[in-house]
Amino acid sequence: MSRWLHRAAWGLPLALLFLLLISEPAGAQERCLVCHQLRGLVLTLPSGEKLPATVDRTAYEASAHGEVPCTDCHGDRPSPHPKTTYNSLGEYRVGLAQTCGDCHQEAEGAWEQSVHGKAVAGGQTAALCSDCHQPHGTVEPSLVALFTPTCGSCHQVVIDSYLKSVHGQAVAQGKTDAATCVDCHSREQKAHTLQAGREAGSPSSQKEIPLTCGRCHPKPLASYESTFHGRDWRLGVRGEEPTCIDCHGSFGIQPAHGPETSMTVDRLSSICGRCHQGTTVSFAQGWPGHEEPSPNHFPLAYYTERFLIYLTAGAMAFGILHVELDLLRWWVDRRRGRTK
Amino acid sequence: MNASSVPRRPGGKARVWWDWLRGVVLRADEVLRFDLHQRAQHFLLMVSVLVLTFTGLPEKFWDFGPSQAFISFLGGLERVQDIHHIAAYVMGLSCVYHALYLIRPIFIEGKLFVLGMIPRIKDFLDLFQTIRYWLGFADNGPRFGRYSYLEKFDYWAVFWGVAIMAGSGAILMWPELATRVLPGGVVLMAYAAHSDEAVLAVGWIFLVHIVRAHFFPGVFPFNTSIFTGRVPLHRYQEEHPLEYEAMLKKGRAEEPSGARDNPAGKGPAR
Repeated sequence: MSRWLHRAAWGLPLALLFLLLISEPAGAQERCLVCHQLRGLVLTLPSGEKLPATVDRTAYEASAHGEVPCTDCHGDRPSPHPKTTYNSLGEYRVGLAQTCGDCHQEAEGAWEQSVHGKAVAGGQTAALCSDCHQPHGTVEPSLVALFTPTCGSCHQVVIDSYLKSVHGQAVAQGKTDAATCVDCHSREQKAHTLQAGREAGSPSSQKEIPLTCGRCHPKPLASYESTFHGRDWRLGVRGEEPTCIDCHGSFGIQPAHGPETSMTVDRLSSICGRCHQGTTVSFAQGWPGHEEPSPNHFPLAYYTERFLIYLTAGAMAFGILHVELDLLRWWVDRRRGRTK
Repeated sequence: MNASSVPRRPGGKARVWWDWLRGVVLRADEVLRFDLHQRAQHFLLMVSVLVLTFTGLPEKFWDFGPSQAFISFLGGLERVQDIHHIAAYVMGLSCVYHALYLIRPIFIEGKLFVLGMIPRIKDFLDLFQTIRYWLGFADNGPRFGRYSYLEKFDYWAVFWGVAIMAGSGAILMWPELATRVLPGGVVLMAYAAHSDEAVLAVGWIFLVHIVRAHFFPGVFPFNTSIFTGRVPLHRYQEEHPLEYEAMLKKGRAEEPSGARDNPAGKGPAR
């Protein structure tokens, strides 16, 4: 009796499961989820790496892919599943990006040109589709508030620094127009076209940073271009000239004005000292900031300029008048027949 | 240059050229106005100023398209600045040369500086006379000595200009060093001064100095005197009559017989 009970206890559910698996009207999703909603499912790849295989049914059904059958992405996989063709997690991840590209061609094409796409193509581990987007989930990482945790899942150190910065603080206060990762690292300000600062032509490269910062801070950019640093940056080819981030910092940038300013004269002398060896406080005091000389701001330079403008006008007027009147008198003499 | 006009001296052709350069040998119809040192100083100054102008102006007016084309043609701003700095050293060299030249009489002849360039009351009277001449109140302009007031003005303009440009340029080249002894504000002051004084210098050189020296009746299109040191006698008589008369007198005093046609041929007394 107990033997029959035992058989029924195992056999009945198994039989029901078998019926569920073979019954077409239930749909492919239903069939897959019978097993794959079970927690703790893991596929061990030949490399020994483990790939989680559990899907949260509720999240999946509410997601953008909720109506998409599993087989569209995972292929037709009869039960019991054949052995996986991927040897390692790396291979699996590359395959994943290609799979997403079957439908999301534009996004995948843009991503391939990004620093992440190039790294993955070069065999490195870097962010691809599923690292930011959850294929079976509802979270939309392109929301401003979600950039930092999304990027931070890999770039923890810079994100920690960013969260304390003037930009990070503004975002935390709900100011959605403050700069986030994509604003400085992507020309289109889109996560699919992120570029690293070391890449030539990247918006965070030495040649582009001032323009990138200038998108939001046009006045400091204009005044930077009028200083020796900015002019050297514009026309220089060796890429040694300081840009915004060399003085103000990049990820952890602090406000330049107000009570919490990071640009005090004391700090400035050490900032200048990064490039100018042997600087003193007096050297830092000579920095005009992003402001032209005026009677109140660096009057010495201002009045020097005024004086030289008047001197130039006066001297040139005297010289040119002298030359012209000499010639005029010579011409008058000649017309009167007095050769000279 | 054949043997009949130039007496044969030991040393061959090089010697002949050297004598010509020094102005030892002069034709009867020319006067030696500038000695070799003066010409060498002018040459160094001229070359350095030209190079400084053509490397400095594109940097000042970097917004202007052709400036950027020229800078990238030379290989970027850094190289343009390197050339600018080398030319600045050449200019500094010409200044040291000139300073040594000025104090040279002390050691050689035991005399103090040459005072020819110091403005005198006569220079102001000469300017007044020139204005009267321009306006038609006088039939003739002033009679000049060795240096006219405008030539003195030219000289002191260079003196002032080089002092400003070299001083501010040195501060901009070594701002860390400069602010060890001077307040920080001098760097920005030097930046303004270097940039603005350059316009005055370039404007004066190209619109006044070169026009006055080369494009004037009698010398047009090119006045060679600052390069050869020689001025035709007739022009010297016209342009520097007082100096010419002084030379004539001195020549007569040295040669009482008065046999020479060209007493000035010995070169002007300094």
